[in-house]
Amino acid sequence: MGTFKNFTAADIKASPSSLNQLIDVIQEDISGSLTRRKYEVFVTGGIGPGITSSLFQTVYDQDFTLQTANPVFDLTVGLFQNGTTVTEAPGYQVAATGKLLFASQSVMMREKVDNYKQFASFLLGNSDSAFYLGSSAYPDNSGVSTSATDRIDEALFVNWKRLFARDRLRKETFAMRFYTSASISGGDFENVGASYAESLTNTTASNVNTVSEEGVEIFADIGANTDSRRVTGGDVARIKKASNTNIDVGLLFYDYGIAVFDLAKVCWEDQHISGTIGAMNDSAFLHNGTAGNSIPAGQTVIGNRNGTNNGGRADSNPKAKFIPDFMVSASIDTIVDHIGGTRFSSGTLTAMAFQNQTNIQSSIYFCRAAPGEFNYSTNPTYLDANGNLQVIEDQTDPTERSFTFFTTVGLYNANNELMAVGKLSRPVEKNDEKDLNVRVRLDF
Amino acid sequence: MGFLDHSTNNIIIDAVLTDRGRELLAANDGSFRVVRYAFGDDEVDYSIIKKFGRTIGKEKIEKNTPVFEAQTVASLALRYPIVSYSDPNLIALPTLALDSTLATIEQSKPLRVQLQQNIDSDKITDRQRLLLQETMMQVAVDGRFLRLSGARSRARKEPFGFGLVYDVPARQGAGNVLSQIAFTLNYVGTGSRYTQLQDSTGVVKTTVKVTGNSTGISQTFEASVKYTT
Repeated sequence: MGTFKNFTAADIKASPSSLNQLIDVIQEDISGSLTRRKYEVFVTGGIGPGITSSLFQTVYDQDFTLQTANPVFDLTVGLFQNGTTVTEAPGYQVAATGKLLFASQSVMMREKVDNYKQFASFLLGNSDSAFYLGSSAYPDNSGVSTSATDRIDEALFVNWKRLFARDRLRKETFAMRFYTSASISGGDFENVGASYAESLTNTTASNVNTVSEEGVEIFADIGANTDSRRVTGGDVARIKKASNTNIDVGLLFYDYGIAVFDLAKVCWEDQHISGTIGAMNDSAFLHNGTAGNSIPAGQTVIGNRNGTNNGGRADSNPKAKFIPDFMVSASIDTIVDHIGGTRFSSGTLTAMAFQNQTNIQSSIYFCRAAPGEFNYSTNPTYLDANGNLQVIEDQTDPTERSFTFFTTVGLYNANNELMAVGKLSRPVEKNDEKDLNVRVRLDF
Repeated sequence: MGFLDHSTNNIIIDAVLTDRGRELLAANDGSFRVVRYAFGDDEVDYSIIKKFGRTIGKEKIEKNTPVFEAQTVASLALRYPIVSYSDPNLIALPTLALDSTLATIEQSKPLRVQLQQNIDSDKITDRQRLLLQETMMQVAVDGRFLRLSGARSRARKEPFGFGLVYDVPARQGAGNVLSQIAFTLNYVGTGSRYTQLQDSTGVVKTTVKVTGNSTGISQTFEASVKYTT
């Protein structure tokens, strides 16, 4: 008699399992200014009105001012301290204290180097290490950072939020649609071909903030299941160009949910870059010397094709390249705005997709109802007004036995307090000829 | 010759923690330990069997009864447990009925409540009578308005609510009465602060649930507590 039945030790099993979710980020979420949040914590001083910038930006799945918006990933860039982009930057010096010094034409160089060092420390275990590509050298060339071959000197970091990365990313599920070229259309050069713009550092129209339409490639972690390594930052494998898997473009750290892309590989590094960017400039000027748009103080025009020959400023760098000029002269916000706003295009196509993995520890409780058990109910409808069992039609027939229908299973502690409850999808009959086993899974 | 497939008798379901389960898990003191289980049939209407007969009735219950989502409030999640009796030949089960008029409870007017566990004695044997007789019942009240005297134990608090649960011993009955319990509901003065729950005459309506420990039989009734004079 009773409503409870005790478990034996053999009735309870613990077992691990995992759950995968497909995460799909659309282009518009990355490119839209309302879905990419900035944290303007960096401010310059000294010359002109100064530049404000974030150290990273966060991409949301909808307008981030809405309470329902979820952060999907953070996006930032970094420069390797011994890469030529840093060491050949204007005014590069190392102070006695180790502090890096740069001319004011460059912006946030120390922060870009610090970003790189932070990721290197976190993922490679040494802030002085460099990220490497290549089948033998990846991910850190065994800690030797002097070789420039396959070294990632200009890095794009993508950190997926825990909400989407969960316990880890699943191998060989990552893919990203990326536009390797900046925009090459517009102005006098709209007929410039892709190969021309890529191979010759000639001038095109403004492309810093123009959505790209050329050079789309798919990058994916092809072969990660058979070739991955375990380092300080957990499991890591290479991200490759899908159209030519011999070309590595980045690293994917599965346990932390962080991707490190080589900007020199995922972008046309020699491509001409042109447009208005924030700069240490204390006075307004006309971008064509005596004519053209007025550029306010605090900004300049990188890759200004007017150049000094056409009355432009001496520092306009008419043949500015994506690497190193743009990476050195632009703030982190400007670079991330360019990459996020233009290199993923701006439509409803998938920009990134991957599967995450959630590890689940389950306790499985085997609840058995033997034939002679649980055949009566306390449900008020089980009895009629006179206390007779409604399930017995003929009370004089001794072969007619009671039965019940299960809809719910409750798990109780020693004080008969209900700890967990599970529901069946439909009522299941129990009678004295039926031995019923219900497996109840409780996930943690 | 063939093989019987018993896999259809092996049902797999996912469970969710109740509020009490979460509370004990969060306490991290080893008190979260599942040791027993029970089955329930809260959604099922067995009067369908009477209306349509056993064959059609069973099919209607199986196919036409929507099962609700799991409820995480422990006191509501499994209200009608399925019970096991060693006797498979029972044709009647006891009911729990109020045996007193429910007057309004006031500061100086506690309410004496009596309930009887009834059954038609012609439909059970002496052995079945012993099987079905309650010796202890649980009385759950809203602790904001009521407390109970006549209980054997101190009240236990229900999680995330105001419920207090008391153990009340049952006395053996005779004839159609299997057992009976009696207790007194007393006014809780601090309940007067819940003015939004009072009607225009200062009366708060609350429920009292009485559950038999061995048969799981239960009865819920409404009690009125008056706060303003």
